[in-house]
Amino acid sequence: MADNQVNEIEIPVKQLKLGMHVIRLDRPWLDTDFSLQGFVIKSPEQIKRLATQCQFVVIHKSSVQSFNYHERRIKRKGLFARLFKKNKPSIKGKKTAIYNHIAKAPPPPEKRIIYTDQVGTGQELSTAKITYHEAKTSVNNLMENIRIGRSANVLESSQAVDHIVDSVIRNQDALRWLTKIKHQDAYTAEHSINVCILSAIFARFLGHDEGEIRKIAISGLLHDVGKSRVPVDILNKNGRLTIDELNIMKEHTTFGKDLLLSIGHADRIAVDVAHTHHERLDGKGYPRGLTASQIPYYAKIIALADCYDAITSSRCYDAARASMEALDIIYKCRGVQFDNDLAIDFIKCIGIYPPGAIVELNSGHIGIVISSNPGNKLRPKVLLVRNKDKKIISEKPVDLTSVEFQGKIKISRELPDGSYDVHSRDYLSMGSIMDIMRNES
Amino acid sequence: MSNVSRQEKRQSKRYLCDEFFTQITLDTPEGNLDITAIDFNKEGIGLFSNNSIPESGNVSLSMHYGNPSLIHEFYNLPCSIVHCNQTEVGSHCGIRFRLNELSPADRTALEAIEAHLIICDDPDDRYHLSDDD
Repeated sequence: MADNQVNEIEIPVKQLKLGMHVIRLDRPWLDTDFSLQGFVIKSPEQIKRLATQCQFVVIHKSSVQSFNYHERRIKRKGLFARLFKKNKPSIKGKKTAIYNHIAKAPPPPEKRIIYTDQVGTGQELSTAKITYHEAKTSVNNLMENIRIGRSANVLESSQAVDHIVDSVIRNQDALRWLTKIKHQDAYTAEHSINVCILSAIFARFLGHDEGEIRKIAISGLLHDVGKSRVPVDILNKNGRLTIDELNIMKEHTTFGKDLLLSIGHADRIAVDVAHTHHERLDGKGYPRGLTASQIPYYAKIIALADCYDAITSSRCYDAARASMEALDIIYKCRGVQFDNDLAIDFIKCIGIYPPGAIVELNSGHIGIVISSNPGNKLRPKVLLVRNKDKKIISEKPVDLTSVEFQGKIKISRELPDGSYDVHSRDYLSMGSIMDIMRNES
Repeated sequence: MSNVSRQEKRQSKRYLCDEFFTQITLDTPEGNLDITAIDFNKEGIGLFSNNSIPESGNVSLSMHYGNPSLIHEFYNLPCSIVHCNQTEVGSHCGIRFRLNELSPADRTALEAIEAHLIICDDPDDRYHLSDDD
């Protein structure tokens, strides 16, 4: 073995063991069939796949130590060590869950997993649509069953989350696109799914491993489950809530905690998140007025996705705000309401002009952002749909990085969805955007 | 299509508030609210609060602007709530200053703050993130 850096060791593939964290290969990741640029060895098959593609890998020293710990544990407890481990309930669908490790912060830079999309957005969109629909049915069933006093099937929700996370890992933009398609009469269910998707995308951006992403995503899906105990006339009120109604609405955090505990879903992370996602760093949140150090890391993540989706969603009594308005609020409330570092990371993750944003160019044209250009986030690809006089034109995709636009045409501002009667969901359902993305894929 | 569409109604652009907007209090019929300033121009300001903000009506705003080159204290500026979006994560509202009721000193200070924000406005790096990348 040869030490390359303080925390890294290069070893032959044949010396790899389960649990070791592979950081680099002896060849570029893009030359291999591995979609993740770094992962923890979880099966002998992964070692076999590595062996066919490279001879040496670089691993984290800490994962060797952790591997040695398991070896020592097996020696100490014999085969029972593995039995005990096998008997530990998994996060999905079990009545109790015990985690060896609960994250308190994003992984440090040297341990962050860098994900690359395995498939194009156009290719993933069809599957993503099915996944979204399935998740919506699952959340509606869950909320309705709770409301009428039937037993709640959290396992169905876990399966929906698995499909969401799988899609986000394959491609981070397909489901993100679908979070833009909002129906004001389905706010509660869509909001839960959107928070699940956005928090999964954010966890991927932060470099968490797949297991962490799943924990964060299920917490996102269930964060508002307590709303199923809020009277429907308050939940769906076609107008502003009174102070008394707002106070009842705020009880959804406590309802959520009690509910998840009562239905035997003792996933402690989801319970904590349902209870604490409206706490603020300055101690002025609810229900308990916790301070920064008392608020769980996962709840700090969900709070950001929750705020972003709530501000950018239209309700029966008010229209949606633009993505940038939501990011402005998150930016200005960082360190007071939201964790400072996570807020900045969230803004980077969403981006200034995310896919689906309605934008006005300095030429006066109106367009929809199709995809961002990694090299220049301020000059994305845009589908033009209105001319400078805001009249309907035949749709025209343009790349604002192309030479003909450089220095002349750029985005002057982002507009709320629905401005000039342009709704991103209409263009997605008409297929124009899907066709363009398929061609790009 | 959504029944509720939002058209840009503002006459002029508002600029992202800098860190010098502090001690912001909105005096409403329901009491004094601690509030965060989001964006600003000499005609109005966007605010966000965890408390419920009235949907409309006349209110007064007090705040301290602490830029060392431009310190100004505003007491009970007469304002009107133009719109307020209430969500479970907080209320986001637009306030318009009632300019004809402001003192010349306050009006001048509002104009000076806007001029400063225009100079600092960087559309290419709105949140000053480029140093982190």
